[in-house]
Amino acid sequence: MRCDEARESVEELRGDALPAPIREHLVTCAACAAYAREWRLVEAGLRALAREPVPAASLGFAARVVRRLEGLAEAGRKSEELWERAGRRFVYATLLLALTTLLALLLPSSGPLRAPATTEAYFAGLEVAATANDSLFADEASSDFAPGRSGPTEGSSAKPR
Amino acid sequence: MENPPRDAQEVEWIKRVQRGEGEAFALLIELHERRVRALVFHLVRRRDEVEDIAQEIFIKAFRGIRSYNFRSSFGTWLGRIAANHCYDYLRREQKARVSYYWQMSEESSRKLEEAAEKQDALTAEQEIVVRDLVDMLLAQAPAGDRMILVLKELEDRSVEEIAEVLNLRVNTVKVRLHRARRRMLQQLKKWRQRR
Repeated sequence: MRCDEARESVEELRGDALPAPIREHLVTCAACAAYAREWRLVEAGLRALAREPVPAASLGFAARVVRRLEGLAEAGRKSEELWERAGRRFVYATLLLALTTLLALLLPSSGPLRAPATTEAYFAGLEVAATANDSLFADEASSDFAPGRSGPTEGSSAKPR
Repeated sequence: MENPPRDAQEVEWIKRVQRGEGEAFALLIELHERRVRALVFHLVRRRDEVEDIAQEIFIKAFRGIRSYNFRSSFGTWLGRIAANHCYDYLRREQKARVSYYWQMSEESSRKLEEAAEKQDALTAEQEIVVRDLVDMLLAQAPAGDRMILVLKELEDRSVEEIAEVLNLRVNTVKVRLHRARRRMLQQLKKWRQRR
């Protein structure tokens, strides 16, 4: 007989219901006998606790719970409304922001509603400079190769009179 | 909490509450109040707290009633909510106090033990002392041990029902029950050695 088995039986069964091998074990095993003794003491206390009268149901308990639930539901509705209002505001703000961004992207870069941006002015400056350079080279080219002007090719091809 | 969901009237009330008819919940409260109170009292052991805790349990039940699927009895489902709620309470409120047992003379405590061992009827004084001692042992037990001990020893529930309430396997309940009892006795032994 193992001590564990004996102790489990002691917990589950009343003294007189213990099978003979357990009772014999309790006679020979001092530790299990002490365990049984202590368990009986605790068991008596548990029984006494179980017998103790439970606080009686108080009058109107169900009504009080339902009232409290209604109060909580009301508070919940208010907080829901608050969240709904906050949510609506958030949606409006987001829409406004999106609209502003869209307008900013779609509007022409200059015009009556908008002055040219610095970068655009910079690139415009570069464009002007490039055009000026082009015309400079164009002048040079026209001076070298313009018809009716003396040039290396024309000069070389001219016959002496 | 042994009222089965097959009770047509109860099922009807539950369905009405699930559809949002709060008034039907009062009928369910009336049906289960006594059992919930008893469980709360046995677990918490404070008469002044029973009312508030029971109210909180029913409020939790109301909020979760849509998740009740009629698989277990409504009483068991409610018992699970009550057990969890009390478990949280116990973990927050674990308190120690002095027991009458330690104020007894050696002779009186020996007599008490003898009477308990023979499972004789205890005198009124012995009953108060032993009840107080075990009350204190329970108060000092870990919340999990206390849950299982109360359900078994004070609420007199079967191992199968405890398994359902605590969402455990039957064998796990048996093992935990034995461990909880053993730990309680170890605690008692410790106290005695310090005496």
